[in-house]
Amino acid sequence: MTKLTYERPVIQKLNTGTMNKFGSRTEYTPVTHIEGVSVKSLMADYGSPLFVISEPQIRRNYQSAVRAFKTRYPKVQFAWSYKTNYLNAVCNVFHQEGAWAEVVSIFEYQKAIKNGVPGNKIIFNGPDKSADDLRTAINNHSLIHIDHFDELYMLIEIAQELKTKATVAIRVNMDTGIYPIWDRFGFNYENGQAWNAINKIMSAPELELHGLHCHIGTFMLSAGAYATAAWKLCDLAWNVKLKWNHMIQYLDLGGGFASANTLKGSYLQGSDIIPSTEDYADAIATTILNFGFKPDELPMLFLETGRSLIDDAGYLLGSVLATKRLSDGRRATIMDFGVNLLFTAFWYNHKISPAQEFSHHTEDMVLYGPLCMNIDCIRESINLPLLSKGDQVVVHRVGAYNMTQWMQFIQMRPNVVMVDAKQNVHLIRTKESIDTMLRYELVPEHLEQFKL
Amino acid sequence: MNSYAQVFFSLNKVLAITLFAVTFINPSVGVFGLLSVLGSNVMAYVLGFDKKQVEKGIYGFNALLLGLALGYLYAFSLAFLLLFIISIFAVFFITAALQASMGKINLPFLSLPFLFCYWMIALASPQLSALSFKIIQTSQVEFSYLEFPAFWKVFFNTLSATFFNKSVWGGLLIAIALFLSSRIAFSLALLAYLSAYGAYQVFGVDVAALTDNLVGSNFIFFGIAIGCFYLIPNVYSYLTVIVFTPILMLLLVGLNQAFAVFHLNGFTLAFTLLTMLVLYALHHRWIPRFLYLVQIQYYSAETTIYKYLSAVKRLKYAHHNQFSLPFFGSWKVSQGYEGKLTHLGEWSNALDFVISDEQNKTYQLSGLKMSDYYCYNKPVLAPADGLVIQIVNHIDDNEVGEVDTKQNWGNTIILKHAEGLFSQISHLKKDSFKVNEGAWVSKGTVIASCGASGRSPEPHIHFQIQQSPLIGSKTLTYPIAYFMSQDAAGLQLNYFEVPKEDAHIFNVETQSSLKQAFDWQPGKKLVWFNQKHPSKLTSFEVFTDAYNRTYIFCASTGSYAYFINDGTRFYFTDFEGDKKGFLFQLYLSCFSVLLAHYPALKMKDNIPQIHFQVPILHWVQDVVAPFYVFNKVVFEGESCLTETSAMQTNYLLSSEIVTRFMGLKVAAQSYKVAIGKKGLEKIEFQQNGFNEEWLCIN
Repeated sequence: MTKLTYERPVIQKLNTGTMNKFGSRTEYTPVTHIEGVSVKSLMADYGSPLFVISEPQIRRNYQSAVRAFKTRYPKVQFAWSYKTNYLNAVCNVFHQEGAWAEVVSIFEYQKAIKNGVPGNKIIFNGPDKSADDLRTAINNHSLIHIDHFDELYMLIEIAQELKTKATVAIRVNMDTGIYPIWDRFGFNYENGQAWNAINKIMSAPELELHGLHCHIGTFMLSAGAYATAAWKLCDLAWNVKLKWNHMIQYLDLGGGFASANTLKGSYLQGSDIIPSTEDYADAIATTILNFGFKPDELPMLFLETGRSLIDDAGYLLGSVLATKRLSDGRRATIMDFGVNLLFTAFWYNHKISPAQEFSHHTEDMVLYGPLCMNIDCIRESINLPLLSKGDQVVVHRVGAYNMTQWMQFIQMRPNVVMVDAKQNVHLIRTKESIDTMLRYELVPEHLEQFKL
Repeated sequence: MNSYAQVFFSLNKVLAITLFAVTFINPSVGVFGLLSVLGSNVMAYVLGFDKKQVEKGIYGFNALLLGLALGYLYAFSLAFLLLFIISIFAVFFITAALQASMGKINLPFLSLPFLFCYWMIALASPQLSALSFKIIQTSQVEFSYLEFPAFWKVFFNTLSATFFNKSVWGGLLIAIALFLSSRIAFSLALLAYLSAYGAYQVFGVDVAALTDNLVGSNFIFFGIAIGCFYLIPNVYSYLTVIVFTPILMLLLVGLNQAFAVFHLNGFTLAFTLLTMLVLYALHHRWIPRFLYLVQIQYYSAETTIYKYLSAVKRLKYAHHNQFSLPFFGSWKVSQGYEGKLTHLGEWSNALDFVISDEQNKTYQLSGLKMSDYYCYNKPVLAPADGLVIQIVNHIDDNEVGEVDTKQNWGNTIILKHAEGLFSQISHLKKDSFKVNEGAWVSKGTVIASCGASGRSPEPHIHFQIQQSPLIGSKTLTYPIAYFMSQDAAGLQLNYFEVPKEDAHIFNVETQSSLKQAFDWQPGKKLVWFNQKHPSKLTSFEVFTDAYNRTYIFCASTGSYAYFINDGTRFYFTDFEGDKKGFLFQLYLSCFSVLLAHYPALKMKDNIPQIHFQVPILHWVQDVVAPFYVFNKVVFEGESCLTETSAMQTNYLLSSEIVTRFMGLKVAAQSYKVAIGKKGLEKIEFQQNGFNEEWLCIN
């Protein structure tokens, strides 16, 4: 018999009467393994905190999303949204599965090229594309999604200068019944700006309009909004066909599919309220299929969903640094990871599980990070077992945005590992060191010496 | 010249020249033969008969035989000249009349015109005192007789006697020419003659009689006609020749007995009658078996057999209705033909489809709700163009695990694709139908959604082909035209197959740019030039012929390349003409092209051997071709994307053609076909370091 672990005493209010809907007591199932690899050994080998990415989970997510769309619509192509997670290993799992690349800056563009994505399988989105960026994209025959008129005019000039044609699409924003409308990106549908842009492109011999793009929002809780968006894009495509006798080759419905994380302020758990990929697919595919295109003139459907494909494949492992009691009597637990690594903690109530066995006693507590900054709070209120210094926890669904929006602030970024289908662990990003930081710093000569 | 070769059912030049020369062993015979051919053909031209037929010598070979016979029998005089001229008229008109009347019942007129004309003259001749018979000369060189065994002597004599000569050397020449023109015809001539020789000896008829009055020729002609000309040469056609030889002998001897009363000669009547009899009988079969009639006459047994073998293999399904899979994406065949669950008895040839995931599960979450099943509510498509005959749309979906055996088929749609060809799709979701009864739907249109009504414990699609429009008719075995299957071995293209149980399958996703590049409608022109001679343009045009075959024609070389584009695959079916011309290269380079792009998927096909023959050695192959083919020409092609455009408009098709003789690689050549926005752009040809590039002007 193993030795029982010591748990500090806790005072708990006794609830009398019949059982309520939350049951009689809370029990936490400890998460001791990720894809068959023990959490303890991962932290022993790669330190704490530690990001862990499950390769099989990425593949499962991708395949099920592709299945949801391809069994509803004949021509579907996914493009991996680099900004969601652009670690090369992660991107390459998606590329191996057949995804193209969707980038929003020249930095991401270069990353995709270096990963080996052919130029013509990169979708170049975003409001910030310089003249040089556009030249590169034109020369590589990438799909350029124009965001504003200034970019449109610049693109015409560059194509004239290069004496070539650019393959373009426009980003369209629209009212889909979801507010606020993301009208800062692209051209508006309702006020005729998008139609205006289309006509300008169609009359410019330097530009070939191949697609229409929209991205109606993020963490969309209504699949119906996509039906509206798809209908409006189809309407534009149909009008292009009528006026210009030109078939739009693809519709890009962007991303924004929700993951199962729980948004702050949400009464119900995320997994209980979000539409499934099947629901999004049904809304989009049914709308396009019913719009009236002939079977052989149906446009290709592009999807750039990021979050829903990667979020639940990422885990953050961490350890308790200390516990203390706050002035109002609440318990506070200080972890070795904070908002520097878990940027999404600003808008999600992340699910956190203990990584080892505990008794059934739990306690409400505040989870703080290691930063010496007041904002570094991971969960304002969470019910967890009685954690002590050195105990380990697993944060779930952290695959999206954290490994791109993380900050080097006070602390350095930790190791990132990937577990493959055969339970092999691969280090895919090494933790930063003081050398990492100093490599980019220069000290003027007169400041090199000082005496204290 | 073709009129000469036609006597031996051929259009071969060498044979024609040899025969022409042999007729001149006896100069007067030769001269009258030639005059007769010329007269007859000029008449056909002037009177406006089909030029192609005239060129093939259809109107000439009977005149030739008649001319030879007259020249042989009668001495020259003014009266003879007059008789000769009017007999040309007679034989020509009889030919034309017989061709027209017998063509309608698919029978050849063979040498009937010659016979009729000859008998007419022969019957009348005793009264025509101005004509005199020649004294038959036998002063030809006879010294060589000893050198040949008896059988060969008679054989050569017979060949030569066909042209009213009795010369062993002439016969030998004809035999060599016949061998050079066609190994199969030669071996059949020999086979027929051998059986005749045997039959004569068995029945105790004088073998020497074979050489007289075209008696032996009957057997040779019969052998070639039935063995390889009107029938596809195979074991059974050879057997037919052997079996019918004694019958021919009886007919021949009998007819000659009867004709002798009138001082006439039967000549080739026996062969003509028996050939017609056999063909007429074979034409009226319900299902052709063993003996197959030649549909398109190439006047060469080798061409016929190789093209036939190729067509049997490659065009087996070309006339089938093309069904595609009735869904989007990859589905699994949960129950195939003769499945153990419900595809039993008369309903055994049906397919059930579901969607399954990587764990082979058909549902997510608990699987207790219909909506947990991947295939539930997924679009169902029309498998082919057709008319909506009937829709049943009032049955609710079952609970998971329950079946409705009262309304077994559930919500169902019946489509009519052709007379006697219907498809039925069942267990659909109530109120999901997007079409109405009486509507015309095209292939790939969404018609309804997958459900679980009727005998369906979990959502699935039931798909069957049947001959009647009634729901629940007995099923018909019918292949799916093209589909892809994914298994442990990788991605595979299946054509005209019935999907197997547990296979994961999906429709071929065709690429519009490839489709456009090979969309060759009649009237389309392709203009090419060789990069070495940019000023010299070669132009091809697309036409349709009387057999409704589409072909691309090169006027400068007179070459034809026949092709089929069924919307999923473009493939050439045949080539006729100049193999040195560029059209032949186009034919080879695009021999079989899938109009879709799947990396590393190879298209494999066999090119008719007739186009690639190994010098001399192929004679061996030719002789045994009706029984076994060991010489192979393999086409292998794949498409790859050239990274020059964003929306996949440029492709490079690379193909290799390997000729193998008894498994040994004899020759190889490779092609690269560039396809751009405007269609075919460039063809690169490479063989043994030799390089050639052709560019297309669109």
